[in-house]
Amino acid sequence: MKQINSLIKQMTPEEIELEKKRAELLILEDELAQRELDLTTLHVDLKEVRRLYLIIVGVKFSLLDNINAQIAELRARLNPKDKDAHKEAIRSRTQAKESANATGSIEKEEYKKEPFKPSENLKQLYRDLAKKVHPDLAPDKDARVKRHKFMQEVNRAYAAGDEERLRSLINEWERSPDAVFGEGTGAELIRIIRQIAVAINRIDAIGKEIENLKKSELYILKTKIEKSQNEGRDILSEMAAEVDAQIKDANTRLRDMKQNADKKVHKDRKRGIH
Amino acid sequence: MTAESENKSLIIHSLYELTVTERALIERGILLAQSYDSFIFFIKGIIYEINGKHDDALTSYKKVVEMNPKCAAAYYKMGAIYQLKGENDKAISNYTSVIKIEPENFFAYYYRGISYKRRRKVDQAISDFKKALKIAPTMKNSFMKGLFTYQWILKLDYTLVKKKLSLLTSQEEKVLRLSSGIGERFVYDSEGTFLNLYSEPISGKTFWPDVKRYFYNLYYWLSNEYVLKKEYEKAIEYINRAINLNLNFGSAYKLRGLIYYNTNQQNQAIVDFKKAIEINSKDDNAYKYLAKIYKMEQLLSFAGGVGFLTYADINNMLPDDIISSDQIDDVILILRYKNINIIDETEQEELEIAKKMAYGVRETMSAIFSLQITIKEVINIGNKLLTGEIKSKDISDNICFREEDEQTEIILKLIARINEFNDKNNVLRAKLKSSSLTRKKRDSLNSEVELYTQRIGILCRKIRFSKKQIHCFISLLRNAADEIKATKVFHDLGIAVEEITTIIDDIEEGYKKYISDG
Repeated sequence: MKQINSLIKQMTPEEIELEKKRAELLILEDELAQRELDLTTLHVDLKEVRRLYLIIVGVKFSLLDNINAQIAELRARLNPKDKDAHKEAIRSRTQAKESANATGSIEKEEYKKEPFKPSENLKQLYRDLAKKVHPDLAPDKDARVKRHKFMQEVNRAYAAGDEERLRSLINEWERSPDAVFGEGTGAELIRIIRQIAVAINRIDAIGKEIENLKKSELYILKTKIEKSQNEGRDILSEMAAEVDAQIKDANTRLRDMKQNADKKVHKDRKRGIH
Repeated sequence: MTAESENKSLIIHSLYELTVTERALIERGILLAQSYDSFIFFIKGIIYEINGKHDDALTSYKKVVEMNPKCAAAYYKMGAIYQLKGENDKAISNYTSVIKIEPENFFAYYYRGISYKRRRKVDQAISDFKKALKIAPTMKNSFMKGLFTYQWILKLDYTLVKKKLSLLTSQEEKVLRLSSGIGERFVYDSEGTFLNLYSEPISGKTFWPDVKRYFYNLYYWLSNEYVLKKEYEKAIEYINRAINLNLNFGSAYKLRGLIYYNTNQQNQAIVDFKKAIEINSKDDNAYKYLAKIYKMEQLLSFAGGVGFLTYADINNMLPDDIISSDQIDDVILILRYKNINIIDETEQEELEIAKKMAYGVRETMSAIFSLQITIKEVINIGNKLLTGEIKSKDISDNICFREEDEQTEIILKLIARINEFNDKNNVLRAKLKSSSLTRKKRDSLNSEVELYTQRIGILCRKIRFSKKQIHCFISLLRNAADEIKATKVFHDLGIAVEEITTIIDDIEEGYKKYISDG
């Protein structure tokens, strides 16, 4: 015991402070890594919800909008003097085009139905990397840019659920010169204090961002999907079925309108009006 | 770099940035899901309602309006349930919510008016009924709007409805649905009831029959509220409209009779009360007002005591201004309604028979009420009357057209005295059990018991138990006798089985006569 006490006494106040701050930073780094993981997971989740929604339901809305646009256009054609009908035809055609654009590219994306479920391994790898590579903890601007790019790689690999890639990224990072620090106590203390402040800021910012994300339409949709899954339902398919029913109605309406229009033309011709 | 841009720098390759169109598409989906969810709860509510689980239905409908605060149909349903439960304030608040969403909803005004009426808020009731009448011509539309949720079903896409029903998840709902076949019934109901609304135009002569009902009810209620306000001119105006729409509206004739009665137009009142009786021969209130017009209180109370009337009695006890044969016919109509025999005193023989019969009835009653079992039952009836478990009209003939409360009070007073005498008899009977009594003492005690028993009999007769109730007493005695025979337990009664059987036979004999002559 005496020996240890004397050992501590031999440390300078700066060194003692540095030890304390290092410990503090370690805890914060853990927390930060976890929060980054949460945020990224949520982002990946929401992106997946968006994709699934657009593939399963969005495309149906796009179909429906197209039929409705045809109905509006036909109505405008049958009532050439009705300005409102013309406006409505233009409006619904625009909407149909937009819906088609929004869902057109999505259809080309790979259609996999499983929701994003990261394994514990994957999460741990992500946390390790986030701790090591976090751009906000970079010593200078150049390092930050480098780390930012690297972190994007990490995120992509995580979103793809690619453990192998994450492992190789860890190896890559540990071999890079950026991973090694060598400074005097004073400089290091300043750097660590700065890093602590940055980490606290970032944790705070992540909290706010997650809160905002939870207010988004996508998040509402995500909770609805999860709730329905717990009840043994598939809400996206249910929604699609509902829109299908609307499409059916709209198609019938369009067909009837066309038939009536044809009859009218036929009659007019008979009467020699044409 | 600012702190903010630093933070932003980490947002990862715009994972979820939505375009305006994408956001619009997603909003449409969320709306769809919400109406979908609320539809499921709505259906659940209906299933609960059909199964009589009103509180569960309320919980479901509350859930619907939580998810979809603009769902007028759910408020409407809640209003109806609270109205059924007699919670009129809550019903009013829910119908008010419907009206906020759909200011032209006929049914919301119609039923809120009824709740106001029940809460005796006359002016609000009048206002709602008038508003309902005003928007009635557009009723078809408002009904469709008001129950917009049914439109899913009205789309005729029953496969969709069935599919939606199959989405009920909790085990309980599934059991409920399967056990009662509700899904199909619900569809059937909507087919039968709601589709009619679509197909029947409400114009000209092709009145949807039920629509008419809403109109004459509204006129009737409006009239009723104006009677409460003593505004008889308006009351007459509306009641005439109600009667014009429905010539067989018994209550309307009665109400108009009441208006005439209150405005001293007794001849018209008589016509209307008689019309009400013609439509419903058991309309106690119509008879009551006729009896009031003919000032029959004394006559009825006398008849109640004697059990029959002679024409001389009628002539003596009716006011002098009631002389025409029509009027006498009306009086006799009322007496018949109260099962009072009328005899011609010129036929001495008939009078003697009537007197004998009345005496026979009295004897029978005395026999019935001389037994402990019956008296216990009478006291039991008193307790039930006191707690409101039964009403006076369930057990007694109310010859004098008393109000229910008044009649109950009179019966309770009589039973209280019966109880008192019975207690005295119990004390005396306990004394009689002692073996050390002198013969003289025993005789004196016995005659005292006899006296109280007689008094009890008289009091019981004054209650004027209904024939149905007398019948109950006799069955009770018969059962008791059978039981005694079976178990051979005699000691409590101190009489032999043969003896008790004879008493009951006598009673039944007398009772049969009473029935056949009454």
